[in-house]
Amino acid sequence: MSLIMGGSLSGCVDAVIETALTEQRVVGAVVLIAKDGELLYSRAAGFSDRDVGQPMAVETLFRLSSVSKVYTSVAVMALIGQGLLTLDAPVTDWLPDFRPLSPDGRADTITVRHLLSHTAGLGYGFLEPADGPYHRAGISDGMDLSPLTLEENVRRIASVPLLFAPGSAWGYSIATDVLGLMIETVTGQPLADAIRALVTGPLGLADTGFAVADPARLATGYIHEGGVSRRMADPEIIPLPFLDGAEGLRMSLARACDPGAFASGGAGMIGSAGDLLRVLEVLRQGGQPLLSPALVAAMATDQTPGMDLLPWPGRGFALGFTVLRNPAAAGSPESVGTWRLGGAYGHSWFVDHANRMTVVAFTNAGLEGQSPGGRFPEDLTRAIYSGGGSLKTNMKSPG
Amino acid sequence: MRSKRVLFSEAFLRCKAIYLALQGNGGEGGIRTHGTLAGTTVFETAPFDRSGTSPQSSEKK
Repeated sequence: MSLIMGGSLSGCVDAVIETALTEQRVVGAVVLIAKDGELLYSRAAGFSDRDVGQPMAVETLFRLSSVSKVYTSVAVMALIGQGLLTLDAPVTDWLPDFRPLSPDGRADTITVRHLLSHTAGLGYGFLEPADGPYHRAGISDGMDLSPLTLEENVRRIASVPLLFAPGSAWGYSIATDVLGLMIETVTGQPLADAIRALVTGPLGLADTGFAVADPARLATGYIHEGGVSRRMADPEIIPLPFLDGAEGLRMSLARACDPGAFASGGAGMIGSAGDLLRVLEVLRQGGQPLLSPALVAAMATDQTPGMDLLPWPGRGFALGFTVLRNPAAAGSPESVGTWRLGGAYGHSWFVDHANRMTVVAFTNAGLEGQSPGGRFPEDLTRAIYSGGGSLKTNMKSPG
Repeated sequence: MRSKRVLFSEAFLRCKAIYLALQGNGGEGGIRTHGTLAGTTVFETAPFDRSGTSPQSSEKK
């Protein structure tokens, strides 16, 4: 589908943001759109912290939740490029005690590829009932203020039987946290230092990491419910309306400022929209200086042919993010091959190679701003591509 | 090869959010963010007190 650009793009995206703010589905947002390596649209709107009147700014920091997976996955690929990790080698080569059993009791081999593509058979506590095996084992999903160390959390993950045999199915999971421990093991550094050395440092990005020193730069989290957005409690459990029986997301706002919280490579990072745009643009343009073009191509290859991704119809999962297989099935105007992922604190991003376009949309509205599922990223996507369709249908008069 | 000079679209200038700019990158084009304010420490240093290379049962005290 063709893109609209220039003033039309700006007006349509502005309308999506203003409508979401007016309807209180979103409290604040930063939206960045790049095309052909040029920044076409950049806007910070609403409040970073509504309760104290702190406006959103382009440089506001966000709890990245699953956006963290991009940074950790790129770090893994960088280590593969350096010959320090191997995509199809057993995880036990680096974590010898990581031997969760398959459902039938066998000790199947889990590889780095399985972890990157979420085909290892691991799960996530937030997808389980409150008495599910991850909860019984006391595993942290990486967004709560857990007292565990990363090592202990991974040890507990290994104690729970897999949901399916490695490579036989796909399931969104805590696998990226296991990769985080692998990175620490291989580099001998804390994950924060390793990601700085492998990803953010080479690009000169100072606004992405773990444990924020200045809380004033950090957006407060809100939840849209009952027609308004309310400030998140701490801790907070956000139910998943699309998954019956699941307990939901255990979140703690305080985690982002606690240097003692374990470094969750799958959900525990903090960062700015601009830093993510930079990383995604580097990947889109071939990966240098982080990765070789061959590694980027490998990273973007669908690892789940023939598998259905429950929350992402029409998409497959590559090595760290989804790739669009079938736009019609996905109900998306994006091009085939588009990369996409989001974050539970209210984030979405996508890279459309055919249109040479990268979009980052961070909000501080849990689930509403998240891709998949949130209305805000869906409206935003439609506005960028066509400025019509359901955007017009969904539009309401301000006030 | 992409120019190393900053090129802003009209829409971008209208937004007045001049925090991102193009930067040449070894012949590769790319978008670069503004840096952190000089002297500002954005992130705390995390403790890293484990030894060995395999997962150990060690709950934080």
